[in-house]
Amino acid sequence: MKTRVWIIILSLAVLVCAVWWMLVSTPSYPSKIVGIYQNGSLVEKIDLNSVTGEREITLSGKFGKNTIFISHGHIEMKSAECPDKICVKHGALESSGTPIVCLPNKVVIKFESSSDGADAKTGAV
Amino acid sequence: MDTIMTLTAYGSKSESAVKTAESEINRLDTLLSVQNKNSEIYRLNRDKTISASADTLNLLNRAIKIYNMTDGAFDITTEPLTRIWGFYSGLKNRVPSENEIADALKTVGAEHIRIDKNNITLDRNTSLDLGGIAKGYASARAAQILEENGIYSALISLGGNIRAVGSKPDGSDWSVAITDPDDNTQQVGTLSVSNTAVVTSGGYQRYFEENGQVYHHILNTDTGYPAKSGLKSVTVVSEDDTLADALSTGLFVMGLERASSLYSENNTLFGAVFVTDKNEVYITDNLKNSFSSQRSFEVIKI
Amino acid sequence: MKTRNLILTAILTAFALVAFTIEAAIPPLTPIYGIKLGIANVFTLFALYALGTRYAAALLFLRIVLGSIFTGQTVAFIYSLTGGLLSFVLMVLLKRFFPLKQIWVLSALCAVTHNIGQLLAAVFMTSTVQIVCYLPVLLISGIISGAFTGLCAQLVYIRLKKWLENHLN
Repeated sequence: MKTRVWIIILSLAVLVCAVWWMLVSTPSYPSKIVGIYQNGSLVEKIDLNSVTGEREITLSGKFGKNTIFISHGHIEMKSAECPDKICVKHGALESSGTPIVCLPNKVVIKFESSSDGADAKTGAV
Repeated sequence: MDTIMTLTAYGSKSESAVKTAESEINRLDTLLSVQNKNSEIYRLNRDKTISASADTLNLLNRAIKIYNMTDGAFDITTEPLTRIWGFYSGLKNRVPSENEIADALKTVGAEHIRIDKNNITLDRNTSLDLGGIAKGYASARAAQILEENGIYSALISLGGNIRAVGSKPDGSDWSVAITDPDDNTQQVGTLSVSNTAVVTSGGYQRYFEENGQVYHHILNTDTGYPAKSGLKSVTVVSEDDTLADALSTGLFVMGLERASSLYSENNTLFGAVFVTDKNEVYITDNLKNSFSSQRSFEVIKI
Repeated sequence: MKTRNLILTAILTAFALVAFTIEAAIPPLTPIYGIKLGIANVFTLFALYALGTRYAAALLFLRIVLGSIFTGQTVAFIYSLTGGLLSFVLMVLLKRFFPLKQIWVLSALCAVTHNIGQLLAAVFMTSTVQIVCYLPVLLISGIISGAFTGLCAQLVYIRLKKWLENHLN
C-alpha cells in the first residue's frame, strides 16, 4: 500500500477516536452518583449532591493506602502511597472526564450511569 | 439555606438567569425561615403580630387552604411541637413528656392564626414553621424567574424538592428517581415529568432513636407524636410546587387510605407515589403512564 | 550466533534501558495510564530490522524485566509485558508487508496493539471493565507516539543499512 494511503487511514483513525472520546466524555445530565470500586467490586456508592460537610474514605491495597476526599459535589483522590500517584494527579472527578484510576491498588472512582438514567432524585430531607 | 440547592438550566442566557433565581430562593429563605433572626416568620413568632410582606401573606393563605384540604394533616403551627422534640438545629432530640406534648398541642391549629389585610396575628403560644411548604414556594418562584428569562429547559433541586421547567433540551421528559427509603443510593422507581414539581416526604432521613424506638421528624398534630401512618415515604407530583411540597407532608401524616380518598376528590390537582412500611409501592392512576419501576406496584383508582 | 550481533544487541538493550529509565523519570503528562512516547520502542524496531526476530525479542524481554527493576515500577511490569509481547508478535508477523519507508506505519499499528494489550491487562488485573473508556485516548496516543518512534527507527535504519550489512551478517 502507498504511504499516502496509510497516512489517510491513520489520520482517519485518529479522527474517529477523537470523536469517540468526545462522545464518551460528553457531560451527562446533572446526576452526581459516584461509585468507588476496589478489585472490581463496589466499595461505596455516593450521591455527591447529597453530601454535606466533608469526609474521607481510606482504602488499603497492596501498595499502601489511598485516601479519598469527598465534599458536596466533589470527590478526589487526596493521597496515595502507591509509586506513581497518577490517581492523585488526576484531581477532582469531573462529570465530563475520565474515571480516577489507581492501578497499583486497583481502585476506580467513576460516575455511575446517572442513577439508572434519572436526571434528578427526590427524597426526604 | 441548610438544604442543598442545585439549579441546572439549558439555554443561552442560563448563567445570569440561574443567578437571579438563586438569589430569589435565598431571599425567600431569609424571609420565611424559622431560625433566621432576620426573617419575618422569626419576628412573627417572637412578637405574635406583624404587618407581613406579600410573599408571606400569599404563602400563609396557601398553607391554611391546604390545612383545610387535608383536615389539618398539613399544619404550619407545629413549631412548639417540633421544638420540644428537638428537631431544630442546635437542639437535642428527646422524647417529651406527656404534659409537654399536651401543652404544645393546645397551641397547634390554623384557628390560632388570624389574617386581617396584611396583618398577621398569632395566639399567645402559637408559633409558625413554614418548613413544609416554603421550599415549594421558593422553587415555584425560581421556575417562574427562569421562564421570564427565556429558559425553557431547567431542573431545580431544593433539598429533594424537584422542579422540572419545560422538558429536557432534546424535548424528552425529565426523569426523576424516587429515593428508596431503605437505601438512599437506590431508587423505588422513576417518574417522567415536564413542567412539574416532584416532592418527597419521609421519616427515614431525620430521626432519632430512644430506648429502641425510632422517632422521625414528621409530627402528627392530633397525637403530638411522629406520624405512624404505615408509610415510609410519599412523593407528590403536581404542577403547583407549593401544593406538592405541603401535600407530601400532609399525605404522609394521613396515611394511604385517607390520602387515597383525598386523591379521588382532587385527581386533577396532584398525583402521588407511596411506599408503605411493608415496602409496597402504590401510585395514583394519573401517574401510571409516567411511573416506571423494577418493583411491582399497585395503582390507586378513583 | 555472531559475537558482533550479540554485542550490538547488548548495546541497543543498554540504550533502550536508558531511554526507558529517563522516560519513566519524567512525570506523567496526563492522568491516564499508558500515554507516553515509548522511545525504547525505537531500539526494539531497529534491532528487529538490523538483527532479526530472535535478537529483538531478547532485547525487548531484557528491557522490560530490567526496566521494571531499575525504575521500581513493578506494578507496570505485568502491563508492559502483556502489551510488549502482543505488539512484538504483531510486529514480526506484519514486518514483511511493510517496506522500509513504512516502518513508521508498522510501528503505529504495533503501538496501538501495545496499548490495547496493556488496557486488557489492566481490565483483567483490576477486574474493572469501566477503564475501557480510556481506549479512544490510548488509540490516539498509540498512533501518534508509534508513528513518531517508528519514524526515528526508520530514519536511523535506512542510514545505517549499508554499514550494518557490511559489518554484521
